[in-house]
Amino acid sequence: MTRVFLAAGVAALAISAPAAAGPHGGGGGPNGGGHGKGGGAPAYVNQSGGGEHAHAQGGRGGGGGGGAFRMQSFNGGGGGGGHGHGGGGNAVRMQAFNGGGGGHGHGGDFQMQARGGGHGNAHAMRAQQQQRQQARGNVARTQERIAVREQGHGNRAQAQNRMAFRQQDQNHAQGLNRQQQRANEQAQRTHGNGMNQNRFAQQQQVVVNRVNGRAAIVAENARGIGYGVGGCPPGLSGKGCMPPGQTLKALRSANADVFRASSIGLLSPGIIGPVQAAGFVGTPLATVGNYVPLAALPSSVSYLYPDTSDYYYRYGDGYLYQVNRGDNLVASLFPLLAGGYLPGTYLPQPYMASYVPDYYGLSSFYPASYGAYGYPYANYGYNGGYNYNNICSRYAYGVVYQVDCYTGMVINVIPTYAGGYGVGQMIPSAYSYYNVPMQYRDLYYPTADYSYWYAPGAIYQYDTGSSLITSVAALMSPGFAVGQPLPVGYGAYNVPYAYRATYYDTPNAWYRYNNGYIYQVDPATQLVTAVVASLLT
Amino acid sequence: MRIRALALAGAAAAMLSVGACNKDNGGNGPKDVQSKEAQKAAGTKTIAAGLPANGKFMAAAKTAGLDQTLAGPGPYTVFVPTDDAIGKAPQGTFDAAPGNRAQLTGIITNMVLPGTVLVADIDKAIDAGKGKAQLATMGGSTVTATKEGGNTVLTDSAGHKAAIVKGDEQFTNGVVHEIDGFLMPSKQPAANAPAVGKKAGK
Repeated sequence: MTRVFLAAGVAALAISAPAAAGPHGGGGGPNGGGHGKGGGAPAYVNQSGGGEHAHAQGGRGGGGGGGAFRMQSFNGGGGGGGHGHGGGGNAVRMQAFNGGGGGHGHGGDFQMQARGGGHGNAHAMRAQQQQRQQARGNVARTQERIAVREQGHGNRAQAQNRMAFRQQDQNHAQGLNRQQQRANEQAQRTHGNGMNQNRFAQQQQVVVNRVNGRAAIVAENARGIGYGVGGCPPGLSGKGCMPPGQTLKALRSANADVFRASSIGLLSPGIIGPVQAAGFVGTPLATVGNYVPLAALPSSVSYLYPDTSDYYYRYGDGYLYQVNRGDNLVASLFPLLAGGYLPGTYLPQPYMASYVPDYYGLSSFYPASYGAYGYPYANYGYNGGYNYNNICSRYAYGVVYQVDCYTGMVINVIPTYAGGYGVGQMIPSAYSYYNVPMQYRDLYYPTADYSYWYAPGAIYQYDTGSSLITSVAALMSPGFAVGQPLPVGYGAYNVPYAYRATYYDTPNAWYRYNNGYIYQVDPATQLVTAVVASLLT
Repeated sequence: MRIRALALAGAAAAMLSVGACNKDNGGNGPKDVQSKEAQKAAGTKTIAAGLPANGKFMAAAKTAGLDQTLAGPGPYTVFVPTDDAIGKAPQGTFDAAPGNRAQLTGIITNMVLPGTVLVADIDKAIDAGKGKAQLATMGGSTVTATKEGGNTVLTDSAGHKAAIVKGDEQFTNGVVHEIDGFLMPSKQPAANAPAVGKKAGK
């Protein structure tokens, strides 16, 4: 009898294990690790900028979040990840999907501006980062920059520190969280030690090169190269005799090659090029595994790719591999990142002049350029790059490419909805905050497992663990504004049934429905004259 | 006593396994995709519930993740090609395969209009437009409606034509018109999408 019960227990646990275990192992899959429990440290964060990379962690238990230019978190393994609500720098996430528990940073410049610092977790991490920087003697120059910046911020920095210490106190009280965090860090160290060391070395090299390059140029400027030998024009003496824009350009020219090389090197384990991926078709899965860290599909999308008696699926570095059960050869692959150019590649020059159209409000949602606070290049040049727009949005064939304005290197690939953006793809990290239009917020609100994100064309539901889109909650058409001409295509009456008795077309007024509102239109001028009803609020 | 303890352990483990399975299985898809409020707003007989679950259109919609959209509050007007019409489309057009998702998204959203547009509303717009009416789709393009032989006919930008064979199937979140052909989106996803390399304004 005893054996029977024991066997039942073991069997039941065995059944539960695959379902509960995260596909990437390490104690937390996209959903594993829970939200707000693990506080797993980001597996890898490019710290080369030396700037204010806000790492959301601890506090509310979120991991990951914030951070600048997080390349890949797979090798970090372990981390329970979770859902870090922490302001933080503008995260440029390449492959959080791969992360051992992911970690989901709700942050970015936009949120920081709108909410005045989010939940404060980022401040805690900033303080931690300062401590780490102090421990590293070889990045004294970076510390100096941070110190100068912090001084410039004055009271803000003090307030941040106060919040950081308060946050740390809370962490003391949360012994379990800290234990978990230590465990995650331990796992992270053991899991991808070699790779991380390699990356760290490359990273340090970038920092050193940048610092050296900058010092050289500043020295040249001091000698009078730029504006007049032997003296600076008034107003530029404090800026190295060269206008800030030119200084920035020179700095980038001096370091672009180094940065390119090291950045691509850093990316290469994270996202592979389409040509290389296509070359894996027909090869044994074990061979692919030598180049790409393979894992089971996240549960949030695995239902889309169910294993069959003939095939099963694996995910790695931006691609889904369909594997033939009979011979274990890769039968086909599906890129889960859309678009012709992947992060880490360079957008061809003609595309750099192809701006995001204003259709659907795309151009206001994806501005032509903006300053990414945490992005490495932002730390160059005058004023620490604060006022420099270093990220550009470009567009081609239904896909928005967020690129580095200077080098043209692709950072994010965001297909627009009509371009096929949807289920199975990742929401862009820079826009991963809750932004559902007001009239839809009562219908689509964040839950423990899912949240919603608006982008021109649709409201998407996504898994907060993996940041993968799980469904299209609502389709959105281009909005109307009072005073604008009625767009082409709205000649037909389209008011919902329940409102037809009240709002029907007359010779003096038409009524048209759009995105939750009923608008009044002047038939003579064809101008939208008023919003007369809201269906959702 | 020992047996009871073991039984409890076994039961707990079994419950764990059931809990774990609930998370990932049962279709292995997300549950409660729509919030309760959204479900209430959509009503009981939504477009998604009203269309044949095993039909080719719904299979394609599911692949594109649009089945939940059609179960939401809407309202939408959906032109649904008959299975025969879908069968006549070029091979692979409506394949409900994950690799075809992007194409399906474009195709299906090109057959969805915002709001509730009855056949009579389309006909009235055709009359007002001196024989034709442009209808803006959720996919960002337009289809042209005309009258041919007493039927209301839709034409896409590529010239594909489809007549409404069964109109005004009303649901709580919109209306469905069955059509005898299929409509395709324009190759450029947005009506005023720029040519590559051409500056399209900031």
